[in-house]
Amino acid sequence: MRFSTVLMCYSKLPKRYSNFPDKYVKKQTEFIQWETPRRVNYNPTKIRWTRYPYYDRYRSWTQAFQAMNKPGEQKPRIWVEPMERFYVFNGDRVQVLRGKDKGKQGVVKYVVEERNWVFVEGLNAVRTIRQMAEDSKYVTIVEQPLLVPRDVALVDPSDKQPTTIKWKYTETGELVRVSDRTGYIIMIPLEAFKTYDYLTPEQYIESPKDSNLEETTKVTFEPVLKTFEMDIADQQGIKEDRIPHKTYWY
Amino acid sequence: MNSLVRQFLNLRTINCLQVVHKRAYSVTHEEKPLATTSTTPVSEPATRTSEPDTTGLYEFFDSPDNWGEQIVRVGRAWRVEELRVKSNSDLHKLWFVLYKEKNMLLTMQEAHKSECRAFPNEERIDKVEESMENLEKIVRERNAAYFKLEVSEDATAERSMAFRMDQFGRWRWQPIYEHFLPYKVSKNWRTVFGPGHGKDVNEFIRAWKERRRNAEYSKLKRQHYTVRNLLRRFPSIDLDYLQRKYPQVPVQHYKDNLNFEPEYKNLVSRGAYEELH
Repeated sequence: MRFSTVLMCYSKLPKRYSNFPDKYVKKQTEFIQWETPRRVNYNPTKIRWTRYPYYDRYRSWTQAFQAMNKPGEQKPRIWVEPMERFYVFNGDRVQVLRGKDKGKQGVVKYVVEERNWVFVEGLNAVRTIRQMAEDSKYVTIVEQPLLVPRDVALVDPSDKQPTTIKWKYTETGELVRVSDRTGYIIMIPLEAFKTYDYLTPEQYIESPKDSNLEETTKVTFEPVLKTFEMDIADQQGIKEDRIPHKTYWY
Repeated sequence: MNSLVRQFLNLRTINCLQVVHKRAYSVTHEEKPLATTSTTPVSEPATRTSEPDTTGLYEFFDSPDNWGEQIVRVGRAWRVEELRVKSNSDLHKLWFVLYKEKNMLLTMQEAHKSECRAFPNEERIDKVEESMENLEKIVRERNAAYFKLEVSEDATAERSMAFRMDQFGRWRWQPIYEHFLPYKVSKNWRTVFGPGHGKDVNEFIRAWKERRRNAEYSKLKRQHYTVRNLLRRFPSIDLDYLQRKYPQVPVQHYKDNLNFEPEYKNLVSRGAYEELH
């Protein structure tokens, strides 16, 4: 079925690289119980069952998120440290500062910006052994969230030690992460730009519904001293020679 | 899904099809001379062939290749920069392409809903709407440029607004409308939509202002509460950013005058904390 397969694929992606339009993502966290009809005689109002969505590891467009936030569910208020710009991305090498894997380094596989969470591959994980038959056992490994910046620090590539960072502009105007200790620029890994549709924008395969790349980038604009409506009317051969009645605007 | 859409077609477009078939009948009758007494039956209206039609009303439906698909992959919406380099006639054509696509998507969504199926890639509707909004933005931009050149620097192609008192006594920016009669003559319009006055209006304004003031005050108090709690919970928080986010709250003052150790408070429950101290 769709919800068990397709949405699972989507759920692995970070919010801003899922290739969904912002409008669609925002619609998932509105929780509208009742909305006034869109007519003139109604004062536009929306009644919601919650004002503040409860975020967990599930993406907001998944069924698990909607089930977690269904009406009548009581969830605690979560305090999240406000950050100007979140600085850990998929594919980053980080060091764990707390917990049983303290001091170990690993690669970030999953990020939840709404909670300042990162999930590091194989670290801070819960292992459970299950026995299906007498002979066969198998282990499931589920990574647990690590809070940024309390539990996790980025690793400086120059000396492989954890550092704090600052966002700075280079001379060419690019925004980069700079290590506080050594001044080394920590590049954003390529894996962070991966989306569900393509690895890099150049590798995207056009679907039959898409417009051609050459057509989209072709410049056909010609400056004319006309409004849009006047230009179209001239092209269609519509002539307007009626004299409008005198009117008043108030 | 194939049968699904066909059922839907039969249900929803039956009236249109009947009209088409009736016309077909009448044409065949006229062509045949009435005098002939041959027993050949009147030709049946052409039943729909296995190849589905994709013209006319069927353009409201997706192409049959996409029926029953779980994923329909499409690219992103048109951006403003891409639309800005297009000519007026191109934009005019593109508008109708997008308009037809949106109609098709909404029809297919309704068809899926009526059959209790999941509509694949609902975000396509949002993508089309976004590109239509961007296109409209560009048209506005061009019209505004023409008005600035030809009329005056303040003139735009938009409907102008007026800052005036409405019928409830509130000072607001309101859109103005076109009328046949001048303002002074149309007394009936003034009594309904003109500036309100009197005892009821004064009472309403007093209550409305009080309510608005209270809302602002409670919002400010909530901001103070959040800042205090954030400072307690996250000792190494970026103070500059917090001050920029909540400009009305004295962040540094709260940071200097936190009245207990934050970590201790979090670990110990409220009752235990009061017992110890």
